Amino acid sequence: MNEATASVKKPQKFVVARAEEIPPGSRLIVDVGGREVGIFNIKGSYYGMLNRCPHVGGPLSQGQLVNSVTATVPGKITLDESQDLLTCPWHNWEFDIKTGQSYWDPKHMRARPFTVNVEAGTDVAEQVDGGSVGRIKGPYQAETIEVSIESDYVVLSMRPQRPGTAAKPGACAPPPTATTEMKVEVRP
Amino acid sequence: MTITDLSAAPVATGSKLGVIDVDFHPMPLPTDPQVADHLPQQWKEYISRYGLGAMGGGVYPSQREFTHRLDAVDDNGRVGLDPHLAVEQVLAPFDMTAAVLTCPQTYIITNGGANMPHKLATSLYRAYNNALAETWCAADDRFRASVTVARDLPGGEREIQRCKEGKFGDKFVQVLMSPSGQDPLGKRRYWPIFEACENYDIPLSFHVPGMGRQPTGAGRQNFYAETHAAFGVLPLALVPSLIFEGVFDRFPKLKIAMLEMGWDWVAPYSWRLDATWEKLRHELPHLQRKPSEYLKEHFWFSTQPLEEPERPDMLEGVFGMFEDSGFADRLMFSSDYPHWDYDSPYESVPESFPEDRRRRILGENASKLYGIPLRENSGLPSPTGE
Amino acid sequence: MTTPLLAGMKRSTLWTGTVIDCDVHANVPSIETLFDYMDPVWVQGTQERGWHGPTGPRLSYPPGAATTARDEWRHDGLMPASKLSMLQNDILDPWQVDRAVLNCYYGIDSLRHPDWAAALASAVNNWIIAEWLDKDPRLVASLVIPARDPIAAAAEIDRVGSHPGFVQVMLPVRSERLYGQRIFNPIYEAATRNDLVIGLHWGGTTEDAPSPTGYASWYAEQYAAETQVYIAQLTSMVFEGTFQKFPALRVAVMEGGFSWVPTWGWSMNKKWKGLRRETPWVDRLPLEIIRDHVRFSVAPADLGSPEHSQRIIEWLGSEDLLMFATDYPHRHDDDIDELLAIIPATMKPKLMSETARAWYKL
Repeated sequence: MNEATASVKKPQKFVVARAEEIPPGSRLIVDVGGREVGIFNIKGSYYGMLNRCPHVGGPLSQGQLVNSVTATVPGKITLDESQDLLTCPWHNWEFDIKTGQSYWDPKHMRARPFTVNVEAGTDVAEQVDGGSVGRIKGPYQAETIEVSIESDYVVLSMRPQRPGTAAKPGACAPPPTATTEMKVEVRP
Repeated sequence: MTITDLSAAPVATGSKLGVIDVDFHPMPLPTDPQVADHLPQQWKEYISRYGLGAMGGGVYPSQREFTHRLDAVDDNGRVGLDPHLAVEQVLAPFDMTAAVLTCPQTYIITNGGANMPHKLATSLYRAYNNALAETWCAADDRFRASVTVARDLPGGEREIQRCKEGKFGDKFVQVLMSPSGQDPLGKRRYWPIFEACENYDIPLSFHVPGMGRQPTGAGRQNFYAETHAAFGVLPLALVPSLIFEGVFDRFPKLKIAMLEMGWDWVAPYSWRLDATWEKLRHELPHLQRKPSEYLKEHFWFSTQPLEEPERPDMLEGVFGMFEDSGFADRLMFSSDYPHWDYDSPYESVPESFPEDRRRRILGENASKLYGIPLRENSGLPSPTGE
Repeated sequence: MTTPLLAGMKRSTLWTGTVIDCDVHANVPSIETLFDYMDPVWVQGTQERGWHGPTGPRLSYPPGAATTARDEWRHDGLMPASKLSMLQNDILDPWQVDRAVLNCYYGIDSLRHPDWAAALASAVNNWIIAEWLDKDPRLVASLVIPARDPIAAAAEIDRVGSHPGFVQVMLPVRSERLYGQRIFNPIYEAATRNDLVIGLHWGGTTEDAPSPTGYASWYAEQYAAETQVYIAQLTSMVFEGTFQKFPALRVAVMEGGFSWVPTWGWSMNKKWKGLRRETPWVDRLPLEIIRDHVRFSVAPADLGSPEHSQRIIEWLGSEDLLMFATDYPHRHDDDIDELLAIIPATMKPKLMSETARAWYKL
């Protein structure tokens, strides 16, 4: 528990919801200390993405989830269902849900992904008690999520996913209220 | 005789940069009550039975059903129907003075009024104009409306008169037409519309897409992206006709607002217009001045879609060329809400720009063109303000 | 004696290096000129019907318009550029042209009969070989095709495309369908098979309205607006994936200018970033595709102030995109000296010869 002790003051992992509250095909947008993060369950795997497009600051986590579409020549279009992309709800730029990599500019443009895991209630409760995992206000119910040992929990890590992969800030200032007053809900 | 001495609308000075959005879209369908309530019963029944002409739409489906930004969807899954949501998402956050409503939908769904009974077409145009006034302008006093007229059907000038002299007359601040049509714009069939615009002292505006004729001089496009990337072709055909036909010598007070048709092409194209005139002036003895002078004096442009040069450091050169060429007071902020390529005032006119450029583009230029005074203490914070 | 060219500019003071002129014209003086080169079926067909040849040339280049020929290049009432000696005396000799790309715009697509149009194209190509290419080694040329019928066009490309003098297939810019559409693939297959450039050139169908707003009143109006057709055609080729399907395809844009290229390219780039799923074969920024596959002649150049024009050159993002042309006998602005004055020193030889040499493999 040394690691837990070290980060008592500022947890970098947060309990987001009980696992069954974000079933496959749904998403949840949570506010972690003023930063909004979309949590996605795609076919049983969980992903996190900062709710801000690196292009001009659109609410990225409200975008459509689609698969990669490619073609080497006109007339031969391939859908790759193993490649999940999140498109910005504004200009429709595509970002890899796992890496945040922009489809059109993979070298220079990244959205900000976060690791999301499902952990057993017993482990989570212990970490919450130790202070290494924080609890945040439930997004669709204005209460702090209670952790009980019977359930599995979706845990969001706010550590940079990989060193050096932090998303670039947007090119321009975001609209002042568009992201702060956004509706947050579980989407089927 | 020049129109550059526009009687300037009172402009609030002070600590804020006033904002007017000159391209803001209501998107009701003819079956929505805000439009349908203004349609004669005969045509409501006709539409339910026969649809709207041959214009099925969707020959190149856009990336989203309403070409919208996803967060503009209302609780009923619709876009551009609820004025209050629009106010909440755009007018309020940016503390705007006004938004000028444009509804190209009117000519999109009617294919310019071409392939349906004449009276159905004119009824639809009237109904849409009424919806803008009675649903939208009535919902918030910051909205202004455009009178959309069917470019190639007779009677456009009477619709302008009906709107301007009706209960909401002051709310209608411009006329809107399709940038394409059966004839180039300078031809005489359009002169009654120019006369009406001069008479009421309101600009004539054009907004993509063009309806009523194929969208290029070489056939139709196959992809939505392709049509979008080639929106710039529309003004290249529209401008020379207006100038070379001598329209502005006949209608010296006519003001043209080009909406969502870009503006970075304007300076280079003015060189081509002048070069053409230099070479072919034998054919054009009726022109009193160089084409670029008419362009500078009679045309206004809107910001959206934001021009994105390959490198950000080129942007200053793009604005600089436009301003040096005499168009500094001719560019107006537009959001194109609720479309996918919407720009906020912070993207179109970044805070890094000189304050006086921001002030002009965000609100002053539109305030003068449309005669809409900027509201006291409203708009974006000014970096140098109190 | 040095003949003045382009309003008095002299070759020696303008440019001392090599010159390749990527757009000079041969005009068919009359339909009868082609009879020796035409299938007799159509010689008789022409005579029997009292047909005087396609209307395209007269509509795209009104005979009396100042843009159609410079006064000094209208000789003794003859059709300008209708004889090799005119071209030699007016351009090739005084300009000390190393190579010139000869274009014959004869309006093949203003004749609708598919067999007759194909025969007319063949006759023009035979005439170009016999009267021009075989008589002056400085010349290379574009072959003409019945563009409305891509299969017949491909057959004509294969018939004469291997002649060493032909370096290009002329595709008039106005067509009934946009050239990126797959129906035209046989033309690009044949062009790449024969290692020929596709030359997008002024002119084309004259029946439909030349723009999205109907028939122009004035020639000047249509002339100024023709830019939009070039833009529509290239946009079509980019989004249809013509350059992915034919990676070796090279296009040259003639008489279309270039000052519109950067801002149009940015617009394509912007749309592609958000809409690329519709045309997923477009695998990189459209303006990069243009830089890889398209070159532009500088007649006309349609320049603005030196400072602004310089900015356009910079925004092209490559020194390799522009090719010098006189467009003989057509008249444009006398601005080649202005253009040379604003481009980087390293770009001057590229503009005057090297780019065209590489593009046409001369």
